[in-house]
Amino acid sequence: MTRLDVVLACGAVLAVLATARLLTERDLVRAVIALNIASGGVMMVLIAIASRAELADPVPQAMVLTGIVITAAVTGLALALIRRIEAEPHDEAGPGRQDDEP
Amino acid sequence: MMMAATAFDLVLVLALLASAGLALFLPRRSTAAVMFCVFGVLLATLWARMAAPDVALAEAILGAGVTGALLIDAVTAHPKAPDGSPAVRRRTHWLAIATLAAVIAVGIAAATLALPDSAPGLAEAVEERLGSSGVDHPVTAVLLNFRGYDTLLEVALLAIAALAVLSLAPGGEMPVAAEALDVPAPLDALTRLIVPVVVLFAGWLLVAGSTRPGGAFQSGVLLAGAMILLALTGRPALPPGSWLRLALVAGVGSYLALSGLTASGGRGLLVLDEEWAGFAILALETVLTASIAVALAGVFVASSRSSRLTAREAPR
Amino acid sequence: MIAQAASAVLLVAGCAFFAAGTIGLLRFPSLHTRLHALTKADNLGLGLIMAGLIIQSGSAAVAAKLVAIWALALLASATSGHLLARGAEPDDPAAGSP
Repeated sequence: MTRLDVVLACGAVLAVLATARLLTERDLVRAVIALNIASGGVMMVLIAIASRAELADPVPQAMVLTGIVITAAVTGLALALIRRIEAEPHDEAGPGRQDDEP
Repeated sequence: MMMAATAFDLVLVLALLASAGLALFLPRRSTAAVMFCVFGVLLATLWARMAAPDVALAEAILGAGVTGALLIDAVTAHPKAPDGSPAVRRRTHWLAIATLAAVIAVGIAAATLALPDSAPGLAEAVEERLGSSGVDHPVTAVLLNFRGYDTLLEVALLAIAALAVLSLAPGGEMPVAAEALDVPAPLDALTRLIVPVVVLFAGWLLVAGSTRPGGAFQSGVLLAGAMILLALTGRPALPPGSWLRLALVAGVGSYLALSGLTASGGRGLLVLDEEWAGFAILALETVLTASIAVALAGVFVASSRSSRLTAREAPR
Repeated sequence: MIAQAASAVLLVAGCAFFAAGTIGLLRFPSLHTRLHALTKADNLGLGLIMAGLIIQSGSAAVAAKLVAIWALALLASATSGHLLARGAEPDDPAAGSP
């Protein structure tokens, strides 16, 4: 059992487990956390494949790096949207929102 | 590379599975957020172990730092999840999902484990052309030269996400700093000590990316962390007003300008000639660092400012 | 040879202190007692591990970076310990008596 095998198996398990949790989780913030963990699992598989060579393959590593930064920004956007979704109706302040329900 | 799994590797993988499991299955939001930070730090250690230092740097800063800050901010604003019946009610549904998940996991594991243990991949192709790429580090060369188009799209996505979060701020105001009502003295002192160190380190990472692990992304997210710390202690963290919008689009804008120049006047879209590739990459990285830092810090400040406003207006 | 042995002893001692701190985290009844165990044991454990690594580092540059990491980690853990203790509500049953 090489290090590669262990990490590949763990990555596959994490990706699928977290995705299944993402589909069944009602609470939106925990769904965002599940999404991040799922992407972590996928990245584990990619980096494990990249580390097979003598000289680590830089292209999957670059893809994972891009993925990490994008996931962080999208998590921020998702959390901002969740905050608006969960806010009390009268908290949705904004200029000119006079046509709201009483 | 047939390296036997040492005890350290096994313990690390088990800890990853345990922290992920706790984050996914324990009921409280705050527990999930903190366990996710732990998961992020362990994941960064795993990347360092798997010969991916660039990824380890970015994961350490983002996973436990920026994303961790965003999550903890979200769970403190709304510690109780809104009540709702669980999405999956019946036992048969659970069994179906569990079976499907198991089948897919086994399939992925079998497919990836069947790959040869040692394959050259693209590392040699990158090594051959590294000399003419303008930098000496393969990952930086791939990110900013060979796969520059992907990086262009990524920076565009960051700018769009940041602008979307800013537009969600209540009242449509552009936030400059989150209002910190009462900053404890140790935190204030820590910020004053650490932020200059972090800025220095970010500058070094930016320049070091040409020859060793580092580069625009690591430097940008490190700066974002420093700006978040500034915002949490009530100091101005973001450029005000229209400078903010300018900083957000400067990264995409300069990348688009470079694409336009190379497509029309040069040899092809984002084909960097050997003579000026190094200079172009460093200049582009500098602008990207600022843009990435402002985008991520803006996402945090806009969300946290709006959270403070909604908390104040909620009925007591 | 002696350096390797000394480094190994320091690393193991550091891990032992971290383990003690974690046991305190799991077993102590209130927030303040847990913080007490965690910050003290973890700081000493970190110091021992850093000392062990500095012996193994082999170059002054790496040793200097390790010392910088040590200082930053000390600052951060002290500040977060203070913030956690301060943030606990005074009549929080989980906080216990300070």
